[in-house]
Amino acid sequence: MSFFDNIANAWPLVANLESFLALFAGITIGVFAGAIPGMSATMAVALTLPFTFALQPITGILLLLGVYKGGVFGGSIPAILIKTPGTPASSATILDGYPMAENGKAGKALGIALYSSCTADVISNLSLILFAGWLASFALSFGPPEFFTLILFSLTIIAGVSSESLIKGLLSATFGLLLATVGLDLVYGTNRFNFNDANLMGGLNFIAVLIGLFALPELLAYIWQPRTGDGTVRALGEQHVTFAEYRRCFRSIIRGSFIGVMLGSIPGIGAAPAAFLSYSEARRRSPQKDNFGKGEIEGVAASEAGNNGVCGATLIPLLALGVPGDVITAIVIGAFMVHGLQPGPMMFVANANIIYALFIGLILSSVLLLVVGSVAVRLFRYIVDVPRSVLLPSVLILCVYGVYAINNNVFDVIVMFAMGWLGYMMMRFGMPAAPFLIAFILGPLLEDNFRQAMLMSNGDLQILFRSWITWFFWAVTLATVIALIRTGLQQRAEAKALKSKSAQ
Amino acid sequence: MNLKNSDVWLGIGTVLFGIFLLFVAIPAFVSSPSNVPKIVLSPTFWPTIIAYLIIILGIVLTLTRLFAKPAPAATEPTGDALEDPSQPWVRLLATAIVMFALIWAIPYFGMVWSSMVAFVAIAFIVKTPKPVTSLIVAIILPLVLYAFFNHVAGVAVPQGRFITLP
Repeated sequence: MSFFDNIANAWPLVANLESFLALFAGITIGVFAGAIPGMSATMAVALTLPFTFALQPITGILLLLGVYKGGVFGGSIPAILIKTPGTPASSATILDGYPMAENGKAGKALGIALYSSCTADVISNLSLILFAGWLASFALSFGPPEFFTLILFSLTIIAGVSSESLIKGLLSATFGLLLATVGLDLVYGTNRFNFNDANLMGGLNFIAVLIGLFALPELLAYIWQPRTGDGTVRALGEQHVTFAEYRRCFRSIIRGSFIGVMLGSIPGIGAAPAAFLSYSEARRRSPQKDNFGKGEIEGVAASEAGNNGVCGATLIPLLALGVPGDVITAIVIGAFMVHGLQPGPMMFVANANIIYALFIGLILSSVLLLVVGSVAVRLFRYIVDVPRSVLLPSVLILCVYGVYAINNNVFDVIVMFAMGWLGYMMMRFGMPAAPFLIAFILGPLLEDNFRQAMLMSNGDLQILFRSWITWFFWAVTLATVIALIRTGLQQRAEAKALKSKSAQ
Repeated sequence: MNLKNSDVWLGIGTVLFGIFLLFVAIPAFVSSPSNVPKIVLSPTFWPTIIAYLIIILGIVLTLTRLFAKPAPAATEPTGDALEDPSQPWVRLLATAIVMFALIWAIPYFGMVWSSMVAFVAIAFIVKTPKPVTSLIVAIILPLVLYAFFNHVAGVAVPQGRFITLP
């Protein structure tokens, strides 16, 4: 079937009021949640997930993708107005956004943040449409050994880049793999850590695990240290971005978008490194490089283009390979699974209409982001006034209802609470939760593909090196580990040098 | 807690947990049929590999932190400077009790009423500066969620034994 046939088949799925409203509601929720310091795009997507159970698959997934996109942009609003990034991805936006706000140009900073976010979003979505299908058709030739090495590579890179410590990232991923073994054995159907409890036979529910890991630790951290204010909100001041200013930033926006696309399509990298890389590239190449850090509009444009360029691209490994690129796409995979869909190359064959309907919805989301974002900027003063002492107990109640709704079972609520405490402990020990969750999701796939490969080869491990694809993934996994160890040693040497310098 | 020390304890705890997995938990809680043709296909193979990984990573974490230069003492995130240092722990303990009580109360009192009380309890624990807003949200939010999940999403929200909502 041609590209246009697929679009024609998908059109009725998305060209209806329900899908449009879901996308609009998702973006609105995302922008507002991203704009509230203490909430995050991840938490917003996790809390929205249970509300998608009652919706059609495409409507539910569009709702979540809307929250994701809105959340990434929404994070830039407090970054600019109160020097507090709403999401980690907006940290680079502070560098020039807040100085602009101090100079009475907050409205201009927010305006360019919105325009560069929307431009990057369009480029990222187009990249997704162009590359996902191609990658999926290539991945159709993958067998169990190839998938095993691909998942191993994804887990290594996610564990490595999620934390300052490679060991803690790997440890977190290993605990995630261990938790994924709970339930019945995939081949023999025997018990594994389920203590003959019927609730544990099917393994732990992944939505309860993810909501517990990503929503409750924030509540517990707040209970440990209740904070009140988050800083002074700057006035919007000069509001309009001129076309000349947008044109001046255009090269940085395009460059940042492609940096976002490249980093977003590699599992695990995420939006924050893309924003910082885009920012540093813009500063290196800009004629106004001396003005960076003092309120340069191009700096805001570059960092926002970098972090929004990631949004569509993270869906490339998710849709084409079935491998979530980051935590948010790991949550999105939950929406697919709830509706009986399994992202991956086969989905392009069996459910192509849903894939193409998503593509159409994503293009529409860029336009809606422009509309919702421009309104949210003006309403920020009211958004930031939401007291945390009301917001965070509300998160707890939302979590309880949402998790109960999965299976109508209080056991899932218990799992969520346990995961919440585990997530909080991990937070206190500096262990990243992202590798844990992604390993928990990919664990059964990793084991299943490994055992299938072993069944194919009658237990001969050489099958894991059978093709150039497996060799490629082994090589990039090894290269990733070496690069991460080298970076860690360099950072340690730099810290040592700095310490001895300061001692002198 | 010093970051280096906490990492050393984390490493030691991890190694002990890995050893417990290997010698106690896997033999006791992972069943394997006797006729598995190859060890790599056994249901115990994957958990065993994971247990070894946990032990190795725990050892590496402990050793790297033990032989690293002393790190500057990390500042513990506590409440305001004048607060009794035990207060954050008391608040966490109280939150854990609220969570236990919520799980226990749902079958008896229903999710709506239990959630209302849990909300108020958490707001009380953090000494909310907006008690009236908290109380209003504590009443409205569980009711709105009940209306959505029960009437729109078709989820049978537990009603408890005493009061039944429409």
